[in-house]
Amino acid sequence: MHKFWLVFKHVYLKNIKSGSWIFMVVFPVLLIMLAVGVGYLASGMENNTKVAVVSDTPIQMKIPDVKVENTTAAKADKLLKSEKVEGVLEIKMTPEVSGKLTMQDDAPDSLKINVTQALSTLKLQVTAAKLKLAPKDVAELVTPATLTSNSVKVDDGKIVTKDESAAALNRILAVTITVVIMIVTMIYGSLVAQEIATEKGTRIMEILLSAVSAKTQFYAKVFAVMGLLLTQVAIYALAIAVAVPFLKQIKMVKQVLEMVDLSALLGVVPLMALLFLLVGTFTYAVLAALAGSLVSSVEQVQMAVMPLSMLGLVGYFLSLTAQAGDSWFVSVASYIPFLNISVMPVRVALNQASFAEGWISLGVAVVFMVLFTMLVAKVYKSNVLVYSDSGLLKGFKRSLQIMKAEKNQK
Amino acid sequence: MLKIENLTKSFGNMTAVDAVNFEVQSGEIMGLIGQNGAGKTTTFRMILDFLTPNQGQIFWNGQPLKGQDMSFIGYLPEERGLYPKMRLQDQISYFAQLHGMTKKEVNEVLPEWFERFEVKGKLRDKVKDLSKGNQQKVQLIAALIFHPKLIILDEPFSGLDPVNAGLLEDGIQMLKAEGSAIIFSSHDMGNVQALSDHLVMLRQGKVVLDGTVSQIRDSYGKTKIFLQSPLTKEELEATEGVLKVVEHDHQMELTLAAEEVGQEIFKMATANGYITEFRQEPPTLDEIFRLKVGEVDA
Repeated sequence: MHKFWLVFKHVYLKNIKSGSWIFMVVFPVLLIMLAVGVGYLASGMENNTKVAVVSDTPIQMKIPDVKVENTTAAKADKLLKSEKVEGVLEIKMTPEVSGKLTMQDDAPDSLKINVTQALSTLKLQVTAAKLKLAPKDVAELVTPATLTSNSVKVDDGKIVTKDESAAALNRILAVTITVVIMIVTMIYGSLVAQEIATEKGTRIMEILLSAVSAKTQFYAKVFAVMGLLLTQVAIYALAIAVAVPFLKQIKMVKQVLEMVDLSALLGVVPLMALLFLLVGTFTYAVLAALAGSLVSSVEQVQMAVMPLSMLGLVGYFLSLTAQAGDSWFVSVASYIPFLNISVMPVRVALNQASFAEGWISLGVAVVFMVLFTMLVAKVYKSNVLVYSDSGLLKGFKRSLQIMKAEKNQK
Repeated sequence: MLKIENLTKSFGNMTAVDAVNFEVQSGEIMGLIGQNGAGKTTTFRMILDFLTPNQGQIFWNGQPLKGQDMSFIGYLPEERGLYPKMRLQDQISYFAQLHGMTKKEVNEVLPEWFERFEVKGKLRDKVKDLSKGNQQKVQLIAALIFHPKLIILDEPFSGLDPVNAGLLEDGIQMLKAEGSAIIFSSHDMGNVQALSDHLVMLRQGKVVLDGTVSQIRDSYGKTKIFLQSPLTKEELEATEGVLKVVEHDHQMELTLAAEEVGQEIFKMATANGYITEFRQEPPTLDEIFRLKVGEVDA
């Protein structure tokens, strides 16, 4: 056990200090911060839109998200020419409320909509006054008919209600899951493959083997990489916990939060996706260890990563297909080891598969992970001793021969 | 003490190691020689438990080695390697910790070892910035720093210049004096002769020589003569019992069928009185090695 921890610590610390791991962790955070920042700036700029209002009757004009300056026609023209305002609105109250908007071509698109809205409100008020309607009647008149909507799903002849905002959120989740699972399994997979292939290629492996059994080494390395993944997840969780109170103060985020019920993020789908991510990364890490243990030199590392990328890409495209719509091969793929980890969570998020189906597929993934890990742990020992220049497959064949010869002795 | 008993390993139809027996006492250096493919590395790999023998056993101090904690074994593989981007200190520390040392202990003794092997590099340097010779020294330190009780060195001298080879010999002798049992393989019979208390030669997986260097040489008889005398090459070749004569400058090198032929040659050479050289000795290890390699299976 002591040696397990030594190898674990070695792999964990070596990678956590590496530039590529830090970059991988920090980059998405920077990207999100950039996106939020740009959004914030953009929304801030829209607020700065200024319009000069010229009216034949003195009125207090209110236009949403726009600063209004009541002025005369001549002054308004000057303001527009000196680019101090984005537009000039001329309002005529007689014979009926109408307006003429002169805009600079770089004025925000929303300006026209906002002005139309403001004018309509104004017209409504004027008309209501003409018709001598009480404010109460006006309010009643403008209240739109209420429409509540649910998206439902038919499951075994029963109708299951789904919250629409949750469905929208799940759609976003599905896209996120597809990308995140593919990226994470690839990155951590190649981390393992490279770690092992480098040790084998540089023959450090033999020194390690003389002190630590192949099995202990194998498990220590795979678990160390899982440790890195959990560290990354923990860092993000912490970052979100710290950032949320600040983010809530930003108007745009507030609007989003009002629209979407974020409690859906603590629901079954994200939990399942996280479990699939963990199981999937572990399974890919084991596959990567297998591939990495077969190379003969450091130059062959790319060769070792290839089967990994292939499987990952197939899973990625299948989950893209699932996003486009359900089909029989996507449902089949959602139970096949290696593919299920990216396909099934997407199907569950999109309501193509029930939670029960999701859990079954996760069960399949877990059982496969355990068996596959045990198998690879066995082959690993003979793999790392075989040096073959004729490619991974031949090397693997020779390794199996050695394993067979070894088995007969025990 | 390491004891190998009837060790056999085959891969498919090929028997790589065939009923090998030998012993290495603590405080003894054993040289393992043999051509490429003779079974040296396979033997090492069985001792290190990378491979399981088909037959036979390996004992350490009377107990089967299998299943024991292998931390007391220091191993230098034939092909060397270190983590290119790791600091020397961290690297050696990692290997040493795997063999039971603490980080603190390593840091305390490491400067001393760097001095002993005259490593041109700082503890915080990265491996890739070191010359090949210095990398080899670092790897040696990693294999020896924890004072292993059993040391296995696969071709430790390959690629070392004479100065560095000398440093390595000193290092091996130091650990021998501490009581380590040491096995090393080598192609250079000069190193083997200088270092080994005892040597074993493998050919096609079988032990063909086993004993001290002088025992082995003497067992071949003093069948070599180096001679400077008035006798010509033709005269010598015509003498009965002389198998081969090679002329170097003024010196003749004779290979005899038997040690006794030497007396006849001495008489002939000194028939006219004083000569400058007559030296009769057993064949060198190198010659015995070649002889053994050339032997056909009976």
